[in-house]
This record gives sequence, structure tokens and C-alpha cells, in this order.
Amino acid sequence: MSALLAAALAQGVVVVLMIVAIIAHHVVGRRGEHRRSEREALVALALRELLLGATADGLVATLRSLPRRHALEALLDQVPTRVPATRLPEIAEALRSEPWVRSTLGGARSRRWGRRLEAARLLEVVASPANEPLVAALIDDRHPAVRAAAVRALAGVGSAHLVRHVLSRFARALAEQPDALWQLDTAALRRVWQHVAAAATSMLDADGDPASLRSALHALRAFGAQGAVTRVLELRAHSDSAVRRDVATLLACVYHHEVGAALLELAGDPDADVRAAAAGAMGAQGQLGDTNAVVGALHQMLGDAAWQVRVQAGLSLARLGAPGRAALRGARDHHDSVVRDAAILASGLPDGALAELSVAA
Amino acid sequence: MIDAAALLSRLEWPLLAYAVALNTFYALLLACAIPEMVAHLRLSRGSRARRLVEGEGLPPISLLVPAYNEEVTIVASVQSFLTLEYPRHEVVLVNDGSTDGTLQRVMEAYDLYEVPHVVEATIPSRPVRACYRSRRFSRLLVVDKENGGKADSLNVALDAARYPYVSAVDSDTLVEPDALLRLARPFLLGTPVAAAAGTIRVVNACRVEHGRVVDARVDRRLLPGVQTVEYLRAFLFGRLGWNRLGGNLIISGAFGVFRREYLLAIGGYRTGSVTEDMDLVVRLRRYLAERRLPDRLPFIPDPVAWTEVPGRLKVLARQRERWHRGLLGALWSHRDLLCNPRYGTLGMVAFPFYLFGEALAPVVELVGWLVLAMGVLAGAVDWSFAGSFLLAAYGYGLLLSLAAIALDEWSFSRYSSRGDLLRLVGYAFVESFGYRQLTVCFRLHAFWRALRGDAGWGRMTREGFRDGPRPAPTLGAAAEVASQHG
Repeated sequence: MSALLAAALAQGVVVVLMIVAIIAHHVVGRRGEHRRSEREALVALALRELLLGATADGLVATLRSLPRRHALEALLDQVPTRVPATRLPEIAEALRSEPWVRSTLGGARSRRWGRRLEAARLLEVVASPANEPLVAALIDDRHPAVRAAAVRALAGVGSAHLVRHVLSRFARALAEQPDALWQLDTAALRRVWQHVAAAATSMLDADGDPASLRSALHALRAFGAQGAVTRVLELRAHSDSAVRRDVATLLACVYHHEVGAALLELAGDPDADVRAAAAGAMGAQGQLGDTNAVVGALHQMLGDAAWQVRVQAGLSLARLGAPGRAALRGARDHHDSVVRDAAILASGLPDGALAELSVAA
Repeated sequence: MIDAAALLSRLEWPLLAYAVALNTFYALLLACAIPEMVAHLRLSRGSRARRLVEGEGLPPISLLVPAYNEEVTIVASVQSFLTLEYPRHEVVLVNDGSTDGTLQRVMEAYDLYEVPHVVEATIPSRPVRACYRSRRFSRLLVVDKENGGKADSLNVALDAARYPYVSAVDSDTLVEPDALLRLARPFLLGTPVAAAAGTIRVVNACRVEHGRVVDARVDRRLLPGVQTVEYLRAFLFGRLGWNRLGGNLIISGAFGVFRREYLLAIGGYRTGSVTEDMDLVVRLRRYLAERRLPDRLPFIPDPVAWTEVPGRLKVLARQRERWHRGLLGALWSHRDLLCNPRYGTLGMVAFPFYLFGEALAPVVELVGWLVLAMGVLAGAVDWSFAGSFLLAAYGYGLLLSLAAIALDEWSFSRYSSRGDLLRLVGYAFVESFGYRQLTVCFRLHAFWRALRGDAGWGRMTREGFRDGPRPAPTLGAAAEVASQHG
């Protein structure tokens, strides 16, 4: 009984304290928001001066006057999006000796993932080749957000070795999260594209792990595969259907006299996704060597058992100019309703929808 | 009489133990929710989310929108879904055999033209009459089908979706512009994710412009106001806490993202259930556990969808009765999960909690009241004990509601007016002393209807708001709130 009463009283005290805390936070929070806006405006002003030709000293001094966390947030929110890449090294150089920067980077070895994340994010702006060991450690961090942030620091480090390491890591991730993670990291790797293309080409070994091959093919697709076309073409007969599909997708954006024949070969693949990718690539390529053969193959694919192949074949025919449109018109009266439906679907689409669907379908 | 008094006296302590155990579990959820919230805030801080959009690093998502007789709001709703801030998303609108002008309105507004239905039907559903694409928005697909209910429509949309992730949204839910963007965050972290859930908030008194909430307010009316506290408590610490324990059983049917291949693998939504979203998540978790797949179902607190809650007692009673009946039905359908170690946390923690802490809570609470009242009348329990008992049991609940408000204030500060915040605090008291006991009655009614085998939904009356589409209470939100009603 007395224990119950004591519990009820204790709860009452905590309730009162909590109400006071909620209201106090509300009042203080509003004031803090105002102060934060003022500080952001200061950084924006310093940044504007820098963009108008001033040195980085003004920006660095402004950041120095802010509390560490606010300086970090203001820097990361505003600098990467507003400052051209050519001026980033100057800012990085000026910031490296700042105590708050050194303190934040010191958190890269912290046991708290939040501190490591801050360090990884800061390295996106201040990393230099000297930071390679630090970035390498963060790229293999156990927290995924830290790993993703560290990839963005590669531009400052400029290490081909680390780029290859990242691509190998993607190979493992691709098996689980093919689109999301890859696309995020691709965006991060854009600033070191020259290293990526070289590293990906060196990974195109037909006997290699399919996941690594796919990772390399994805990289080449994003950063340019023209220099590796012959090695890509060799993979069209790979035993893994996912690799063949990626090859077909990649062939949509490279130019080589053998591409047409390779796509026709892939159009007869036993795997429906490979056939669909080949059909899509034929449309994306536009004029391939033997247009009649391509149109004929796509026309035949309008009656494919798999719906994604039929849709892609129809969309590609619509993109192949006069011969493709003529084939589609003919297919609209085809005796087979499956062919007829696919042709009606593709030929009824406006140009904008056609372009969007042929990429996404 | 003496024996009866002794019995009543003995019953008090197990009941008190039940109340303490249940509220302690909620406190554990709160303790787990705080570090989760800190982690999410750290990841979503600054303008990073916006930069992800520019980087096109997000997985493509198909929004599945079932619509039945929504002619007044459908055009604005579709517009709001099409204009969400997300780089690659499509809207699959399914007209579930509406008897009003829903389809006609969409056809006119979006310049639809008929396309052949070339998609394979992998889940049995009512026949599709026609498919349409828009000349204005190529990412809009409209499927017209015969009436079969919400789950049936979602199954058709699931088949027609072309992206690897799908999000089921009610056509009358207001999704915040950047909500999808935030909801996709766990998919970017490289850990396997089967589904992700967002927060549902109460829109009733909010100012809405062009289908977007521009000023979050707390309703001055008692019922919607109390439900605002209830939703905060259910989502902000209930769901978040379960994240860390690994036992999320509910993803709101109004707003969540799923990996499409998993939904197809489990046969899509189950028709005939009154809480098809809870049933879906339980089946999904079973599927993952049976195949030892590591995919998680995290709850993300910052993506928000807004929904209207009942403003009238009669409507609230119907809604809560239906939600609880759905919970009972889902637990009964999957009763073999109970304390089954094969299913890990799902079988050993989440399922027992939902059964004993949620489904049976109204019965225990009723018994508690009866025992206490009879004990006092029989002289076996003295007044001061009864008073302390009630204060301790319900005061704890009040504490947790205030903690939810505090968590919201510290994390998001959604309610900018001090008056709204004070109102929320006031409603937390009403929620613990009065409202909660009221909902016990509604939920007890669910037992009666479940025993009779009633499967009806009952009629839902909406009030709408000043501008834009009218959001409806949804089963997902429903089960979320029901799940926090110990």
C-alpha cells in the first residue's frame, strides 16, 4: 500500500518535471532556431564573398566562430552544393589546420558511429591524399551510413586502389540491394570517374566472380564503357544470366561494329530478363548495322512468352524510326492477340511516355 | 462472503502485476526508442536528404492507390502523389468498380487513353476491365476493375507495378512531399530491408493548402485532440522501440514501403480481412523467418503522412471496435506463432506481447475494475489502496504519453504554437483518465462481434478539411494505435 502510494507520488513528480521540460524546450528551441538561422546566414555571406573572388580565409574565420557542430553542418550543407569543384581544394587546404576540423577528424577512430559519421562527412570536403588510410578505414566501417559517406571522400584522396576496393565492396552489396546502394555510390563516385572506369575495366575477367563482374559492368555503364567494349562483348556468353543481362543493358550505350550481332544473339537468350534487356538496347541504339534483322527480331519478340520482353520489343520498335513504326503498324493487325496488344501499347504512347517507359520498363 | 473477499484481495496483486509488467514493457519500448530517434535524426540532419534526390540514388517506387467512390478528391490526390519529391516513382491508381464518377474525373484531368493489359496476374483478383495511361504524366497508370475491396485492388496494383519497391497509400491520405524520400533511407544503407514504415499524424485541425499540410495544429475538440496524443504515443515510441527489439508487426496500410518481390511471394494482400495491413506484415515476417532471410522491417519516424481521425464518439466506437476485431482475427489466424522459438523475436516477444498486452488487455482491465469495485464494496480492499492502485496504474500510462509528446517536441517540434503544446499535455491527462477507459468498452465489443463471426467494416463518416483531399482513418494507423492500447 505505502509502496503504491510512493510510486504514485513519484510519478506525479516526474509528470510535473516532464511538463516543465517540454515547455522549457519549446521556448528555448524557438530561440535556438533563431540563432541557428543567423549563423547560417553568416556562413552564406562568407560563401558569397568567396564565390565573388575572395580567399577562403573569410569563410574559415566565420566557421571558426561557430560551435563545432554548427560549423560542420553549415559547411556540409552549403559548400559541396554551392562551391565549384575547382575551388574546393583551396577551402580544404585552409580548413585542415583548424582545431575544430582536426577534432572532428579525430572522431574517425571513435567507438561512437555518430562521431565517425561526422568525420566521414567532413572528409568529403577536406580530404587529401594524406588521408588515404583514414578514408580506407571508414570505407570499411561497420556502420553503413559511415561507409556511404566515406565513398564521397574519395575525390579528395584520388586513390585508384581505394576506388577498386569500393567497387569490389559493391559487388557484395549488389547481390542484396542492386539498385539503391549502387546508384547512391555511383553518384558519390562521379567525381573520380576516371579511376572508376580504369578499375572496372581491370575487373572484367570472364572467370571472375559474377558479382564482381556485375559491379564492373554497372560502373562502366555509369562512367563510360567505350574503352572496354571488346572485353564486354566477350561476356555475352557468360554462364550467369544476371551478367548477360547487364551486358545487354550496357550494350545500349556503346558503339562498336559487333554490337548489333551481339544484341541479336542475346535476343535469343533463354532468360527472359536478358531478352528484354537486349530488346531495350536495340531500341536505345537506334540504327544498328542490319536494321532489317533488328526489326525482324523485335517483331518476333512482340510474341514472346514474357510480358517484359513484349513491352520492351514494342517500345524499341517505336524508337527505330520509319522501319520500326511500319513493323508496329503491321503488328497491330497481327492474328496473334498477344503481338497485337504489345504493338497497340507501344504505338499508342506519346514520345515523352515512350522515352520514359523504355528506360524504366 | 469472507472467502469471496479473500479471493478478491488475492486477485488484486496479479492485476497490479499485469499493469506494472505491461507499462514496464512500454517503458522499455520508450528506452529503446530514444537512441533510435537520435540515430535517425543524425542520419536525416541538414540538406542531405535533398541532395540524395539530385544524385538519383534512390530506389524506384510504385505508389499503389486503391480508390472507391472518390470523385470529389481523386484528381487532387493523384496530383499530390505525382508531385511528390522523388526522382523515380509511378502512381498505380486502381478504380475499384466505383459507382460514381471517379474514373471519369481522372480520365478528363489526366488525358487518359486505353492501353492493353499486358501484365501477368500473379495474384487472383477480380477481373480488370481496362488499363489507361496518361498523355500528360507517363508515370501514371490507371487500372479499372470490378469491385472487390481494398485488398483486392492492392493486389491488382501490385501486379501492375513495374518498380521493385511498392508503397500502398490511401487515396485520401496526405503524404508530405519529402516523405518518400525519407522513407527510402534504410534502403540506401545497404542492409537488407523488406519494408519500411512511416509515421501517421492527425490532420483534423491542420491548415491544408493544395493537398499539403502547411500548419500543423492540435484540434481544440476533445476527441481528435486526444487521438493526436494517442497517435504520437503509438508511432513515436511504440514503433521506434520495436525497431531495436526487432518485433515490428505493423506497417501502416496508409503509408509504408515494401519490397515487391516479397509481397508477391506471400500472395499479396489477403481479401476479407478487416486489418489487411497487419495480416500482411505478420505473413511477411513469417515468410522471412521461415526462410531465415535477414531482411528487417524498420520504422522511420521522420516521413509523415496525415490522416483524419473520428471527431464523433459513434464513429470512433465503430472504428476502434473494427480495429480490435482485426487484431483478434490476425492473432487467431497466426496463433501457431505464439511462443514458437522457430520464429525468434516474432514468436517469443512480439506475438505474446500483442496477444497478452494488446488483444486481451481490455478483458484484463475490465476484470481489474470489477475486482476493485467488488473488493471495495465487500470491504476486502480499502479505499486508499484502490485509489493508489488506480493512480499508479494509470499515472504510469500518463507518464508514457507525456514522454511521447516530449520525444516529438525534442525531435521534430511539429507544433509551433505554445497553445497547441499545452493542449497536447492536457489531452495526455484525458487520454489516461477517461478516454482510455472509454476505448476499453469499444474493444470489448469487438470480442462480442468476433465471437459472432461478424466481418463487416461498418460505416466510416468523414468530416474532411478546408482545402484539398479528405484523408481517411486507415487500418494501418488503426492497428498501430490499437497496438499501443494496453
